[in-house]
Amino acid sequence: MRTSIAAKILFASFIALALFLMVLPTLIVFPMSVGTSNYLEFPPKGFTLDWFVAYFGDEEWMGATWFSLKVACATTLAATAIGTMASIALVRGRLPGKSLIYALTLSPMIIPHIVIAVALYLFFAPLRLTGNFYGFLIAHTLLAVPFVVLTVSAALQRFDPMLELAAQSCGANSIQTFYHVMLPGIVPGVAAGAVFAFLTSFDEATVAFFISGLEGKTITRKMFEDIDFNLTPIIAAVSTVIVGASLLLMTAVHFLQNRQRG
Amino acid sequence: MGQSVEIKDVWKSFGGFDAVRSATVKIQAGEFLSLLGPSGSGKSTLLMMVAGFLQPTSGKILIGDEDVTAVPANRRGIGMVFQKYALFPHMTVFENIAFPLKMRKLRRSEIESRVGQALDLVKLRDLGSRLPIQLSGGQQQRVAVARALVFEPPVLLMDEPLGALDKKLREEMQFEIKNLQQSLGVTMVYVTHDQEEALTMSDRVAVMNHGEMQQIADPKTLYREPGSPFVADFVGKMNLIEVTYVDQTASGALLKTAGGNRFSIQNLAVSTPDPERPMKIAARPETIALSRRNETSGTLLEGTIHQCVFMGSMTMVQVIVGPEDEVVYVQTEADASYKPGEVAYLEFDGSRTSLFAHGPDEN
Amino acid sequence: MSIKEPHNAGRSDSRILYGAGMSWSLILPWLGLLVVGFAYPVFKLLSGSFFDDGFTLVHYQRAVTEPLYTAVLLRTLRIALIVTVCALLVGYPIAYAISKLVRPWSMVVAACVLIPFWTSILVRSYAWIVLLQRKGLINTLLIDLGVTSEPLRLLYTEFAVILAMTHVLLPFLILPVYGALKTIPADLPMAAYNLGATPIKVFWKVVFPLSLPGVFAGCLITFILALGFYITPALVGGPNSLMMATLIGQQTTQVLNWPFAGALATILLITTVVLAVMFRTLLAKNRGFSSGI
Ligand SMILES: Nc1ncnc2c1ncn2[C@@H]1O[C@H](COP(=O)(O)OP(=O)(O)O)[C@@H](O)[C@H]1O
Ligand SMILES: [Mg+2]
Repeated sequence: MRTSIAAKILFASFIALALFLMVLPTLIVFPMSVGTSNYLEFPPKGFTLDWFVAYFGDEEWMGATWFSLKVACATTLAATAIGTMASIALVRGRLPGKSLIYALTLSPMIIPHIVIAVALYLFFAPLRLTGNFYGFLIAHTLLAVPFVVLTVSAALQRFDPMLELAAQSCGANSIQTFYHVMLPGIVPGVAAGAVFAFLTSFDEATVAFFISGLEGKTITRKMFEDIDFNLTPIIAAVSTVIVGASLLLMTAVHFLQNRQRG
Repeated sequence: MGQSVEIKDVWKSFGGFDAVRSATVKIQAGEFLSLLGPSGSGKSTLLMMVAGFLQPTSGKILIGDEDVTAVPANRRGIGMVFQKYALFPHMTVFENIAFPLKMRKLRRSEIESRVGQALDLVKLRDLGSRLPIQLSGGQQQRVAVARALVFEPPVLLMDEPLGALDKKLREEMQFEIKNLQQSLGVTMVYVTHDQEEALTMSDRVAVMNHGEMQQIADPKTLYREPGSPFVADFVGKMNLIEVTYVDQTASGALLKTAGGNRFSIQNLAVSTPDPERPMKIAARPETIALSRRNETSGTLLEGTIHQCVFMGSMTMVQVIVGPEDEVVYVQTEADASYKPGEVAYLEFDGSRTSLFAHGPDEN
Repeated sequence: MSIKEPHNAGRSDSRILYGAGMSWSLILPWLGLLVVGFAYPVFKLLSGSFFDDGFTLVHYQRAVTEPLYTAVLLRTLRIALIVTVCALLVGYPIAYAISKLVRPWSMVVAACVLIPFWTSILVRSYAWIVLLQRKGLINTLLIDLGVTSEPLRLLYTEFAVILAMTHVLLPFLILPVYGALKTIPADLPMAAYNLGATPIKVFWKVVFPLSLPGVFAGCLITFILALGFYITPALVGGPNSLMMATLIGQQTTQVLNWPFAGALATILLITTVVLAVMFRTLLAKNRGFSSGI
């Protein structure tokens, strides 16, 4: 009995340590962002909000942030619409070779992003689509749609097809059926897909690294450059802002998924 | 008022498998027709084709005089009640019932008054603001009926609408649905696998098996003159006994069971008196008389009492005839007192017994 | 005479509600994007690797014979393997803990797994730079504990790459393992206890074998992602820990040897696809396995 208690304590400490190490890198950016030192000191000394002021006052940082937000919002709209349509066709439609199309649909998630990044770079460069809003829109929508298809088709599979037949027997055409009956039923799945699409775009770094330009540059590319060549605590301030926003989104998705199950 | 529905030689195959084979029936305006059959017999498939959710592989469907085979479901104007009701979970009862009217772009005031009438019709006047999950099964069922009726469709389809209700509620709803159908004069196509339900509610019943309509008849004819062993077995309680024809005697047709027991039946119509041919007689438990002694002039079928089951108004006696433990059910008065193992004699009523040639397509 | 409730009552084709025309028009935008933004560019990159004034395999030959590049190939495989093993050793106990704990503790542990999952990869890479540098937290700790007197050189080493990648990929391993553990019916281990097995025996003989499908799935996806990882190795690694993805990037943007980059990409892609197909078959098996429960 004693050994089992000792083993339990040992196991619990291991888990606690592992979990601590898992969240440490996320949490560490908060103190880093308010330290006064210019170097990467830990623990940081003093307290200042200068790095946030610097971030919000820097034209290049703001430019990259807005560009990322713009791309992410447009990607969310495009990917949610395209992905929802595709899910309906894949779950409810009459298509030959559905499983092949499904595998193809998910492939951008599995294929190494470096391959997509380099391929798109070589494809976009001669078309002047690098550093271009539409170039990013194409690339990020491609990467985001699989997530939308995953969440929306899961929601569709749970959705009772009899309700659609019922709507049609009430005189609704396909569009009315979708809008009045199907959409309200799968909206938590669509919303979760939209959040994933937003994050996929906003957080995407590999493809963004290659298809950014001097003008059109995402915040991830800007962070990469600064971490590599010009590491200042502004990075910590930026990280704090991003982590704060992500945690908010994570909570939102958590509630969305709970609502869908409930 | 109702409109007639005509199903003309309709086939439906799913990748080589015929789910419906040459269904043909004309349902009169205002008639109540049931599609009765075991699970997988193609009832839903046929109903789905009438509703317009499925396209027939061949054949035609007419409503009134109009060929609607190519008309999509949402423009056929047919009301439908689904097995699990298929109420829209995010809409209130009122919104559910208003939905067909909204799709028909009626004015708000018109919608309100008609939904009110429909709620009255199904006795749910005060529940308009509830959501479907806040209703009992029976109430949901009524909402589904109201939604299907509110736009005054000439034809109403129901696919096992009472399947999810308990027995008592089911009987109550059978009565109400039948009343509604009659007072509105709407044409009804009603799918069920419950033969009692079909018999009590319908003007006519179409019995389906393996995608085929085996017999279309009013409940009485179906019960008394089943057209095939399948119908005989499926509708009501029926004894099917394998026999061969021996001879015509003074006391009627002399038959022989598979076990070699001989017995005769008065007034039995034998169309093909062929001793070589295996046949089946079909007799309902209430048409067989049971006695302890063989006192008539003819030969009665001898059996051994297996069990007596008291059922309230009567007692069902199971009699074993022949060596194969073939059981024949006989309905007797409630206080009949046979003991298991006792020998008893069965007397068949020739006018209420059918004889079928042993065909290949039965089970 | 009793007739069972038909399980397909009213089913007749009802899952298919949209005809071929409607279905194609719904999926066409996505197929168009897949072709224009994915299939065509990737095909061009890959096919470019076979041509240099006519068909040639010279780029592939280079990739598998020049010691510089074979070293990168082998290092990539080695790092991906080590990362997968580390992630399994750390991730399995965590997944097990989530499946065993009750609320609210299971929620706390799950949140600790999901928080890094939702944290930008650049933030996490940056954080590891902060932690691993000469005057960072880890070196401070090591010196305070007397393990070393001089700060160690941790950053820009293979160790840093493995540590940071393990951290980034851990959730991808934990989630499938947790999924498999959750489907094990609680009464199975109970039955084993009842039959006199010790807790450790119950774990190795009952729980662990039943969680294997999740373990395989999690390991494969971790391995696949590790093979093609770009950002983290590029930031916390040094020239001595160069990996495939970084090499492909360099060949594309710095050396401008696109056919060679294409050849490397092809090798990476084929490895990934082969593993992904294995992954799918495993998943299919996994499903068949758990559906009976
Ligand atoms: N979409 C379909 N694809 C293939 N077979 C089907 C489909 N729908 C129904 N079937 C088959 O057709 C037969 C009749 O089904 P159905 O009409 O649902 O029977 P019922 O409603 O009488 O129980 C069944 O054997 C069923 O499996
Ligand atoms: Mg059915």
